[in-house]
Amino acid sequence: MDSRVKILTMLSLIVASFFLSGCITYQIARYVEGDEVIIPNDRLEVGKTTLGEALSLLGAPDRVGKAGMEDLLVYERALLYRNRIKVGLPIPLSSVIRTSFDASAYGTLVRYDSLALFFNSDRVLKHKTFQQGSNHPYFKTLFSSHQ
Amino acid sequence: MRPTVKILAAFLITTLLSGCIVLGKNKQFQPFDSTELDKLVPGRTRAAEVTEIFGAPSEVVELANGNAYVYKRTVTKGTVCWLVLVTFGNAEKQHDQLVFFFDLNDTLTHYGISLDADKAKYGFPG
Repeated sequence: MDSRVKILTMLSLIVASFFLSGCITYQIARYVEGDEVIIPNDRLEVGKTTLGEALSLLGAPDRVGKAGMEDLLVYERALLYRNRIKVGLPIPLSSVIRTSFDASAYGTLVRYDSLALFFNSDRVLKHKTFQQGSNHPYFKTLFSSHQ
Repeated sequence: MRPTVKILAAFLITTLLSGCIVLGKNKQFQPFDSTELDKLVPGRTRAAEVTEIFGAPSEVVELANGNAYVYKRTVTKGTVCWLVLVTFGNAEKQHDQLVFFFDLNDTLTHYGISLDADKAKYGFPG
């Protein structure tokens, strides 16, 4: 009797693991684009630093453009994090029974570290701005009421 | 430890750790050679000479005081690992980029170079 219970228990476990594997899954994903943006603040002086000096300090910008009468250089790194939880049966049962259960929730957050440099017509730094999005924690930022 | 507990533990561990891993690489290739930069002289080299050496740019951008030619190639490396309960996905995209700045007369004034494509790596989300 005892051995029959053991065999049944083992069989139940095998069947349960077969049907329930993937029943609850948690997915963690990360995507990074671009190299770290390092700001040599002491060497980027508004009114003094030239375009040539900025290029030799920071390398080629990720984006260039025109902003009014100024030239704009942007150095940027994008960081995407996604967490997803999924509850449901991995094997579709709709062909066997008419009920099915599948629910999932996910949160995706893309943060940017961006340095923008504006150069005037003489190609001298006129204005600079830096935003470090990666400093903002994932869950707090994702669920914050701020847009 | 009782034999049943041992079997159950082994079963649980093998079930939870069963899975697979995938590694992938994407490359957007552009055959520019950064060693050719020595041939350029800001203030003298013309836009036509730059395209002769480096080929057609990936992008041409109009600036307030001239134009910029952008040469770009990228490498993306991705890792996905499926376990029974958890899936990890990671992708990293890095690029090599050359940007040439020209004045309104199409003469090269400055250029910048970033070679980061080799920094793309496989891994897990940290």
